[in-house]
Amino acid sequence: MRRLTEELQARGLEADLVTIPLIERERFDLIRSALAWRSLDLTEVGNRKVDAVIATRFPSYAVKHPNKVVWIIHQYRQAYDQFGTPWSDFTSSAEDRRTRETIAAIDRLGLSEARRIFANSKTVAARLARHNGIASEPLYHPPPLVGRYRTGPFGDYALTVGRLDGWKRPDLPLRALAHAPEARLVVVGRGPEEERLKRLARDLGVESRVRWVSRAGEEALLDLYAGARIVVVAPQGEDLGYVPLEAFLSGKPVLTTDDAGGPLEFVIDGETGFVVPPRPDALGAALSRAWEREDALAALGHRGRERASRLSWDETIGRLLSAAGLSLP
Amino acid sequence: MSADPEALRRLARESGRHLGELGVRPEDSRWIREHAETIASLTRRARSPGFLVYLRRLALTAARKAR
Repeated sequence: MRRLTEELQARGLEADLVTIPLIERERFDLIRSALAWRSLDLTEVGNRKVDAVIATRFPSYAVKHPNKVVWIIHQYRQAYDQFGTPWSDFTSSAEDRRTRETIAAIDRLGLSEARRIFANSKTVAARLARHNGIASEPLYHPPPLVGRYRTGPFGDYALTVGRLDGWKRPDLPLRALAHAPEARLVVVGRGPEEERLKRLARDLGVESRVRWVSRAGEEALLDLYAGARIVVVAPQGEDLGYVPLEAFLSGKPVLTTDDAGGPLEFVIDGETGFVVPPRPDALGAALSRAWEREDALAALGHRGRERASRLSWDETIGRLLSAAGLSLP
Repeated sequence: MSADPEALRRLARESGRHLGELGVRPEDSRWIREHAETIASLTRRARSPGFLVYLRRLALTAARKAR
C-alpha cells in the first residue's frame, strides 16, 4: 500500500500510510491488533481534518472514521477458506472457534461501516460474499513495477516467481519439468520450502535444468521476465497475484492451473496462456508445447500485454476517490 | 511516575467497549483478563490483584454494554 500512498501523493493529494504490525504469537494478539486499530480515531490528526481513510487489510478496517472506504487486499484467510487445510493452524478447540468467530465479527463491523467496499479481484469479492455475506466490487491495480516492465526475445527457461511456501505449490513446476525434458526452469524466491524443493529437484533428476535465484533485485527481476519463454503460476486459490500481470507486461504468456483463483481472471486458456489441471503431467505437456511452438507464444503474450496494460493507477485512484466523495485537486 | 488511575479507568471502559464491538463476549474471560493486565501494566499498581480485578470488571461491563 506504499505504492497507493505514493500514487495519491503524486496526484497532489496529502496522503499518509498508517501501519500497525499484525502480531500472531497467540490468538488474543489478533484481537489486540484489531483493538489497536479500533482505538485509533483518524477523524482528525494534528488538528487537521482527515477527509477519508482507505483501509486494505485485516484488521485495519476496524479503524474509526466517518468516511471509510475499504479496498480488501488481505483478509485473514486462515479463519475462512483455509480453515481445515494445512495452511491454517486453527483447530477445533474452543479458543480457536471463538477466535474465528471474533475475526468474522471484526470483518463484519469494519466492513459494515465502510462507505463502499472494493476487493482487489473477483476471486476475493466472491470469497467475501461466500464467507461473510458481504457484497464488494472488484478493483484491480497494476503490479508494483508498472511502467518498467520490458519485453525481450523468448529465452530458454520457464520462470516461476514467488515465496517458496507450501500453499504456493512451488513443487508443481519442478514436478512438471520431469514431464518436459526440453524445458528449463528459473525459480525466483525463497521461503521455508527452499531446501526441500532443492532435494526434490535432485530426486526428480531435473536439478541440472533448474536455476535458483533466492533474491532478485528489481532490475534483475525485470530482466528475468523479459527473457523468459513462459511464466508458470502454480498457487491454488490465489487472491490476485501480481506474477501473471508482470508476465503479461513483459510480453510473456502464463501457464497456470484451473484452481489458481485470481490468476484465472487474466489468464485465458489459448488466448493469453495455458490453463491446465493442477497435475505435473498436465503442466509438463503445456511446457513442452511452449518449447515446440515459439511462434504461438508471441501472440499469447501480446494479448496478455494488451489486457494488463489497461490497468492503471489513474483508474484505480479515480474509483477510490469517487467512492470517498473526493476528487483530484 | 505512574499513570493516572482515572485515565486507566477510562481506558478500561473505552477499550472494553471496543472489544465488545469487535465481537469479544463476557464469557471470553481469559482475553478480558489479559486485556486488563495490559492496561494495569501502565501503572505501578500492576501487581495489585484488587486493581486488576477492578479494571477487568470495568472492561467486562463496557464490553457487555457494547454488544
